[in-house]
Amino acid sequence: MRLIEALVSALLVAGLYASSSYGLALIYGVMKIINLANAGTMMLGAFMTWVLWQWIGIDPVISVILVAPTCFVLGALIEILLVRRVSGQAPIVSLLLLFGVWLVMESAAYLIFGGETRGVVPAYSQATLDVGGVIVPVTRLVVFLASIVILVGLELFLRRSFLGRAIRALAQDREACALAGIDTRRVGTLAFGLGTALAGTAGALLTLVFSFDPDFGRVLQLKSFTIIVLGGLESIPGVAFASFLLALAENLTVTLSKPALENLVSFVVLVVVLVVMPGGLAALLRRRRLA
Amino acid sequence: MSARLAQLARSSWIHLAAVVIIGLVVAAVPIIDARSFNLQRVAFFVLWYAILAGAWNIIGGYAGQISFGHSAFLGMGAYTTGILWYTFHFDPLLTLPVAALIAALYSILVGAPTLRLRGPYFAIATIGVGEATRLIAVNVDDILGIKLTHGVTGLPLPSYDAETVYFATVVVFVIAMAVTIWIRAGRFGLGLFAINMDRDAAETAGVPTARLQVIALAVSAFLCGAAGSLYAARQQYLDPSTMFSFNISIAIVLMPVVGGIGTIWGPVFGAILYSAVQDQITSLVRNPFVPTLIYGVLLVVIVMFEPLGIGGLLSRLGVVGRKLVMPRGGDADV
Amino acid sequence: MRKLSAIALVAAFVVAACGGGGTGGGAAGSGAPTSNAAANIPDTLKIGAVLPLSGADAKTGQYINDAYVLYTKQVNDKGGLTIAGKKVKLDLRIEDNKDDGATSSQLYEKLITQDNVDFLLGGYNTALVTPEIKVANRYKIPYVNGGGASVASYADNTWAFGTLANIQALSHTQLDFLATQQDAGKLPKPLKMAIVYENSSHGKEFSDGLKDGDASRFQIVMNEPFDLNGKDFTSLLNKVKDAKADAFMADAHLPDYITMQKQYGQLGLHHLYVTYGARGPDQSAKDQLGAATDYITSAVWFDQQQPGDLVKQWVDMWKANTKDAPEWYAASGWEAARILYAAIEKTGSVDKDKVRQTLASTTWDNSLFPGGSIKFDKTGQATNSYVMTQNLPGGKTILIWPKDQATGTAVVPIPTK
Repeated sequence: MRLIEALVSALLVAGLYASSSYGLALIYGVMKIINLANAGTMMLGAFMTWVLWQWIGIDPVISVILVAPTCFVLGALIEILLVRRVSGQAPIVSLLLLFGVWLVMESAAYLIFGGETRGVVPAYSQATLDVGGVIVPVTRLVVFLASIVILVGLELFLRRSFLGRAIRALAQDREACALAGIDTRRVGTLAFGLGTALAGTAGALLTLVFSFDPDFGRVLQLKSFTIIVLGGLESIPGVAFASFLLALAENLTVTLSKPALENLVSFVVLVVVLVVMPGGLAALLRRRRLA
Repeated sequence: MSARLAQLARSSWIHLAAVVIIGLVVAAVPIIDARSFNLQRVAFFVLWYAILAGAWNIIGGYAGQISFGHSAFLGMGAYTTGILWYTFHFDPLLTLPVAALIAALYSILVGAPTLRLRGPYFAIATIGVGEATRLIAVNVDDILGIKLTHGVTGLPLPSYDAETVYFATVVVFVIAMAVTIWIRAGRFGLGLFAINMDRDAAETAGVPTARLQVIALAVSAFLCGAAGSLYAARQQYLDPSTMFSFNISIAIVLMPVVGGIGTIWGPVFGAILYSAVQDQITSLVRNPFVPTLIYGVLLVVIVMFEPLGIGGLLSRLGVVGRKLVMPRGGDADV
Repeated sequence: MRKLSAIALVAAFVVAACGGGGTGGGAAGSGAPTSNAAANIPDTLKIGAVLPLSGADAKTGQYINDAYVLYTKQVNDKGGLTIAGKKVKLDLRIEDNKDDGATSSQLYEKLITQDNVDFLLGGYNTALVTPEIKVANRYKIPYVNGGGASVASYADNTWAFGTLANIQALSHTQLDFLATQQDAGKLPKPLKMAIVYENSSHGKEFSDGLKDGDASRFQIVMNEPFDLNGKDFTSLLNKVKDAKADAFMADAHLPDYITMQKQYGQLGLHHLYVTYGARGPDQSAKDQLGAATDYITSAVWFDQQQPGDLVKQWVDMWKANTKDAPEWYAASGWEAARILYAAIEKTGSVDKDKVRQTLASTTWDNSLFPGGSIKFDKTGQATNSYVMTQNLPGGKTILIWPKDQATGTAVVPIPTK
């Protein structure tokens, strides 16, 4: 029974982690850029949701309808005005650039909203469901289901739609795309915008579970790095799977050892995977299949 | 090759002379005015930041491996001194070489596996290492059941003369700058620049890339550890969340990048700007987040338009010679 | 000569960065304290303080800030302090340390060496107060604070004073209360306690204090630290669930209290007794959590429902002049300012060492705190007793301890839903 509870708990947490990682994975996969501003966008998504909640009282899940497009536009702008300018240079340059963007976002939020911790408390925030003896908080279930929807929607988009396939093509071989007549710059912008929208959506949904301040997203972002590295930097389902593994590892650490070490798990895994398995689990599996 | 090296060596002497002059000027402050506590305080932090920025520059600027986890080395040095001082009552400044050495050894431990990674991957790995080090420092006492770092309670240290620490800081600063100048002028530095530009080409040309990078990181960590030791001696209180914080790691990156990455004086400009902003703008504007906003904007602007940072801007304005702020003596390519 | 211009530039920067520095003067360095004769009483006295006005503790920092500002204003409206017959105005300078300990101690140092403040009012949160006290001792300036309660902060201390009694006493108070509930048959004996505490000296002392309980009455089934300002306590709370304890004893600061209690409810946890140390009736928690804060007890250094006219007058005055709830943070900050200024007046001089001696030796009456007076022990900490509160459904909070000050009966055990 306890094992089932642990698995369910890990599954729900995985939903949180996966949601916050999809955007990062997409942008990296397509543009080979590590978007450090991902945390900033999540935080902006959370604050936007909070503002909407305060003014109009709309539920965070509904506010995604407004938050996602806004973040999409924001991401596209960042790509066109900033990222594109440094696209020819070493990858570290875009890393530093986006880091600077994150700093700007964070300090702007501090200046506008102050450093207080805020929360969004819809009516069902304390509600729980009894699923076969396991108590499941409704808010976490909502986020989990949303992350599944995003996962499925994203995969469908990437595999079935023209734009989605163009994005995947861009991820595989930029030059070939150009030769095939795809407007690589436009697709790149759209991919960046989409990744940012995903981050903003994650921020909006996560307000159901977490309280937040302008520094929100930092710890999650570090875990997202671990997840996308573990899951293979270019695989969306890999992200979901790796999220689950990480959540499970953390859960076990807390249960079997000291809760204070919970965050240590992700950092150690990050470093180990980077050094030992740069392609992540996806590469490991691909190698098996080919062999 | 040797003609180029000779040219570099010549200009290096001038840089070195400048460093020594600055060192003497700064050291004179407490001698001239025995009660100039404020000036000493400001000068201490400018020098201290300059040491950190310059140290980072060796691995981040010269070798091109951007590290977001340098506070790990700072903390290692600080805590080594702290623990030796607290437990064995050694004079903290005497423990400085040990602290620096421990930081360097730690850097080899974490650097050997991770320096193989390229650019952004290394950067992310350093974030992981930095945060992992912090968590270990916070929890090691509980895990091992000993009293080493005292965890979050913090390590309270005995009193110590601030002026002595100040002079020691001046000395470490001069040494750090001298090391920076010397590296740039020599084959070691040449190797690092080659790795920075194109690691594979350098490898093909016979440069021992792995070894050079590890050495660069070790030197960088050594200096950071020394700075940590100085901090412990002056502030007389250590707390792992502060010493190993991500915020300090960010500052250590911001300073040399904003000041002029890969140059000799860039880190110093960056340190001066950072201290000045931290110290003065905060009081002026009454909001501590304005500086962070400024840094963020500066970082974006500099990354996009002027990779040589403030030094580069100054050279464009003709205030200083272009050669002064070039990463290497007189080359047009960065 | 471009190199020379570069050197000149660097030197110019260094000088510019020193701002209004010049020669520090005024403040004593690591040498002997300046024993000014009482003759040098300035027209204005500069008071410096550094508080977390942004970051996780912003809310609490704001309370203390408002207390300092309001009290200082009231003193200045009356013409200022009277020191040896001379009216002296107060110039209060408060800086924001962004909830960071290193920043805080550096800012205090700057206030001392650059702004030449005469006396210091303290900060908040043990992790920040501890290095601040170090600075006060280094520069030998009296520092009175209402925000640091951990014994560790006052180790090797001569110049700092704190109005908050130590945390172990907080734990003992709760144990005393629990013992009476056990005797009345409302709680099992022995009581199984699951303890989670923030990883700080504050939290450690809370846990240590609970370990002092009588073994026949109290059994500790879980005792774990957690990282401050965490976002997700699910795994920790699951572990608490497994421990099958009767009482959930947590020690956390406000942001963690809010996050943890939110998730406590979501995970469907229930205990006979729940406490978050000195947190519980905080208004911002009630705003964010609503009914999830019901039945939580806390042991605090002050509550507005304490009996007596003095308390009532202060609460009314506070509500009339600020938008803040009259929580203990405000009262504590108020007392710190009141006692510092009273000490300066009583000493009749601005000599730092003399003021320090006055602070150490006087019993400060007319206090808002339980007992009505504050006397600092030899480490500089006050030793007043605690009062305990409990939140009732509907947003009301009652005083439940000590018996003679209680305004209602505690609901023990917590009813199941």
